[in-house]
Amino acid sequence: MSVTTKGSTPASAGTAGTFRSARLPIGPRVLGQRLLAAAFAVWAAVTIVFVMITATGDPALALAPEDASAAQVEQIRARYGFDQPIAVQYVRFVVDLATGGFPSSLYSRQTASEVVLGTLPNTLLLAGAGICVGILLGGTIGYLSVFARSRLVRELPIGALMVFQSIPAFLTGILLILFFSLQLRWLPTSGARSWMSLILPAVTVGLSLAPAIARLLRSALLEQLAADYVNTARAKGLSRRQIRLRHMLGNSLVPVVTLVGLQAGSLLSGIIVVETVFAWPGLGSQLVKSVNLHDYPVVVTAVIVVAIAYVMLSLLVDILVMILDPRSRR
Amino acid sequence: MKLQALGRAPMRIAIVMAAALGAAALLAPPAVAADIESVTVGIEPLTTLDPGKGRATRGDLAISSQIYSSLTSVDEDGKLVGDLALEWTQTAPTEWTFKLRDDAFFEDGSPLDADVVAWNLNRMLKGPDAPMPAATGMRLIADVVAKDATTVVFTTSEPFLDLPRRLAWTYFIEPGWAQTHDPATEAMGSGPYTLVSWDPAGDVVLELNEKYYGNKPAVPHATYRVIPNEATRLAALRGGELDAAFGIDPLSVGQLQSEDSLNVGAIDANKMQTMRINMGAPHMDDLRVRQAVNYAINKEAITKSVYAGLVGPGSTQILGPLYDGFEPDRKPWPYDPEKARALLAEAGLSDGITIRLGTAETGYVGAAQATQAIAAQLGQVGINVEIETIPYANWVKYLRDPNGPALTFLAWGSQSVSTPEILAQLVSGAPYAIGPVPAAYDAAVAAATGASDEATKLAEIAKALQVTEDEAMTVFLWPQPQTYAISKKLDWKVRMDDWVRVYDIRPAQ
Repeated sequence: MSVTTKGSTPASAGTAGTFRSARLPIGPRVLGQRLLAAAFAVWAAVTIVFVMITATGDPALALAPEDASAAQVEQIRARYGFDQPIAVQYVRFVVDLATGGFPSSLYSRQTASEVVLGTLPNTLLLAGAGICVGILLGGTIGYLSVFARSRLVRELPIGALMVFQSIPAFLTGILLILFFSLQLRWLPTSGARSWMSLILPAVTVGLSLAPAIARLLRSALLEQLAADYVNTARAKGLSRRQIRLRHMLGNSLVPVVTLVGLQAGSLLSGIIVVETVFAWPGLGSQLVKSVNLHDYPVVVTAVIVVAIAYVMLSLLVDILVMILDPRSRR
Repeated sequence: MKLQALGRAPMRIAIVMAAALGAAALLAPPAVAADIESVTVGIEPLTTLDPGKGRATRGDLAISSQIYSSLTSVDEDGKLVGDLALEWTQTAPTEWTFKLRDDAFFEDGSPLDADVVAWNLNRMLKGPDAPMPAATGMRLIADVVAKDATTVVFTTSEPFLDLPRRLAWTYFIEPGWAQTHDPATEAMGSGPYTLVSWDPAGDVVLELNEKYYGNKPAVPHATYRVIPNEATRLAALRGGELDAAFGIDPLSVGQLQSEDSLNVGAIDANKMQTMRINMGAPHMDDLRVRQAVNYAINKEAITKSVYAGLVGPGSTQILGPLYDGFEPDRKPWPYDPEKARALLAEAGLSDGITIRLGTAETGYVGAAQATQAIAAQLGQVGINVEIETIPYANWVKYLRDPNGPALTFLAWGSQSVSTPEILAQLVSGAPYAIGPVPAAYDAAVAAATGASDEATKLAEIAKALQVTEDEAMTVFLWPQPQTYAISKKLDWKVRMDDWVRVYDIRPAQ
């Protein structure tokens, strides 16, 4: 991912060498553009979701007695304003957001943001742990697949890891439960009662990330093998470990970091599945339930949170890439 | 609505609950120090603790019904018994009087008296959120008044013989407490258990309520664990993390049977799986076509395969055995594909027809596989079926669509186990009835609902059942299997209705 920084003046480019360490890797103007784009992305996501959830039916039926007459349903619809055209409901929703904060969940007195933010820590914990597992596993296996001495270690782990790329996360999850919870009885099957409960879902998330990381790292490392600077470094007499860890791995990180950032989006959707499989009480479980209940304040709020998280993450990745690869600043 | 039997002298029905019930509990030998301290039960995702808003007897209501009290309750045999109410009488054709016990209190010590009962019903029927989901089946209630602390009088717009039954799943919160608390996420009850914690996506923890006026629960601590995914629920059962789970897919029952620690199986639910017919859909206005559909389905084969033999073919009625007027002698509709073809030919449709069949993604045990099998069997007699699988979120809306499919796979149920309530689902103008309905059926159901005595009610129910068969108003299938897996250390008799209450566990012998 490269960012064109048309705004940087020739002068600043010229002094880059001198002030490199003092300067932010991303200029304020670029940052502003990115934030603007981010705000637009969040607004677009919210609008699409709002229109979709309103168009596919309103919650009046879920709030009414089962045998409610059409007139009673209409009465409930009018009470909440669901009888208004979508455009009107949309404007009102946006005005609500802009003035009074988040609307209440339709099913309790909690505001939608309370409901969503209450589940967020669990999801962040799972996502963070999952990314760590994915990077550690994918990184280690990718590294070994290039540099391990034994051919078996070079080929077997990465081959095995590739299998997981073709298995959907929910199946991986169930297989892990069957083996570690039911066969070995080491870990609980589901829920979020202790740190032990985190292991299987985090490994499931990690396993869905690791194959791509391993493969990309492998191909990046292979590319470096023939690079001139490696020969130079060798000629300078640097140790093999120094060359591999400091130079080659460092240079290979750019595409890997970019990939992790790019996968953040699919990671979030993947986490919904993993949360359902492991009955993990996070944002994903909440979102699924709220969609089923047509609890649109909660759904839209959850989407806002996810969209912001995604946009922030990709911004973070861009900054990271710029730190890792100064070339991308130009 | 036409009403028969209105001219008759109102019959007094007085059901006196033995006050001995409480006394018996005192006299009985103190329960042997219960062997089991706690149980954990798997449950599907929860929405609310508010008894005015909950509707699933296998979900929200299972929890709130153990925290709160109701006037009456339906026991495991479908019999109506008292809870708060000691007795109830039809004091006029359109008036019921309930006498309450005077020893029921909320956890904070405030009394659960007639005022509280009236306030709650008015909240459900006339409050700012009214009509609330809990007002289902209360259309005939006109007014609820507390005459004195222990007397509540219900006035109905028409005779409402099933009112005491209907009130069996109406629970009461404390009016003052509700001002300052959110009944959707908090609870302060009067029932056998008190709420320790409530996480609608995690654990719900209950422990016994020392102040409860009735029999003490056999198990003092209960946890309901929300596990949305079926495979995970099964794994948790096998891993010993759950002591019980219900609503298991019939095809998974077999794999659980090898677990030594579990009793696994199914009983017939008090619910018949059927296919609703839209008599306004193309071809379905023809009785011969409706009969042909009934003849074309091999219920024996489907129950043996898809349902793993846990249930057998159901008879030609939409009632389960606990309902008033259930006819045990009715036979299943015979399987006769030849006759089905002949009927279609007679209707001039020997070239075959194409119809739509709607089914919900979740909610009815075995529905997904069963509808596939049904479609294949209908195809063999020349009825091509296009299956529409509807996500649960849109199911209710789909059911109410006036242009709905020719056939819809569903099971009718009533939390109050009231026959008129079930039959009323199919009358003209009912929210879920689509297409024209035979006038004889409407008349019989109206008469059964507004009957002022039991004999008239039963006679009208019998008439209505006969019309559904004669007119092939619905496609009769089989009882829904009530599947369960329960730890062998628990003495827990599975109910035919959907309640999954830890309170039903009996003390260790």
